[in-house]
Amino acid sequence: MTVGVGALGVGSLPVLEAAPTAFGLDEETTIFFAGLASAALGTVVAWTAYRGYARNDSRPMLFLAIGVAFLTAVPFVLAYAVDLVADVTDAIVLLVVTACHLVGLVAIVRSFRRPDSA
Amino acid sequence: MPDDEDREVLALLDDEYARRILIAASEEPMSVERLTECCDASPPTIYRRIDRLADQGFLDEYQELDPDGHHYKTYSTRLERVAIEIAEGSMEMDVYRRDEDPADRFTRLFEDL
Repeated sequence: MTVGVGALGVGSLPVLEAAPTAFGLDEETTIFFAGLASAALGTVVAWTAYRGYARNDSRPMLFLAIGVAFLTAVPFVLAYAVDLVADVTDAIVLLVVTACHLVGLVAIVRSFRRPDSA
Repeated sequence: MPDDEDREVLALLDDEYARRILIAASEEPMSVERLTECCDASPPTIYRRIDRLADQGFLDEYQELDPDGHHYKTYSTRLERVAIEIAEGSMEMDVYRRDEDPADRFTRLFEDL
């Protein structure tokens, strides 16, 4: 099954037709690099937010950092890690990615709470 | 000849407390309370120096909120380098200020939402 999971990359998608994409790479490789780019950018944003927390002692920034990490870098790494560790179905990989997204969004929603209302 | 602004920069750098504040606040943003502790000075002394340093753009100011909901300010050092060049019968002074750290700007923007 081919599932649209944005640029997060899901390991071992069955490539029905190995149609070369714009860069002359197959789909799986393209997904990997797109996912890697998202994960890298997400890491920069999350790291900046974390430094904001550390420098300004701002709890909302800590939750924002966790949230961005779980929306970008964490699912990317886990999607491939789960695939390496065990031969799992795409559904399981997608479940892991979706669970990460949920954790990330909960963290970001939590970051809206102001310290004075905590 | 140094103008008034150059004189003020030199006077600030000559001031022990102003120097201590700049050094202390160069690692992370600091409240007046913390500056009072690490610079071993009274709050009025610290406030006076902070005003002069901020006038020169040597400090960044942040508004913070403590758990009780009180606002207080923290300061971080922007001054990076002062170059004095003496040549051909004149003295030139260049002051280099750091841009705000992206992490601090990000924090400010996010907290102001």
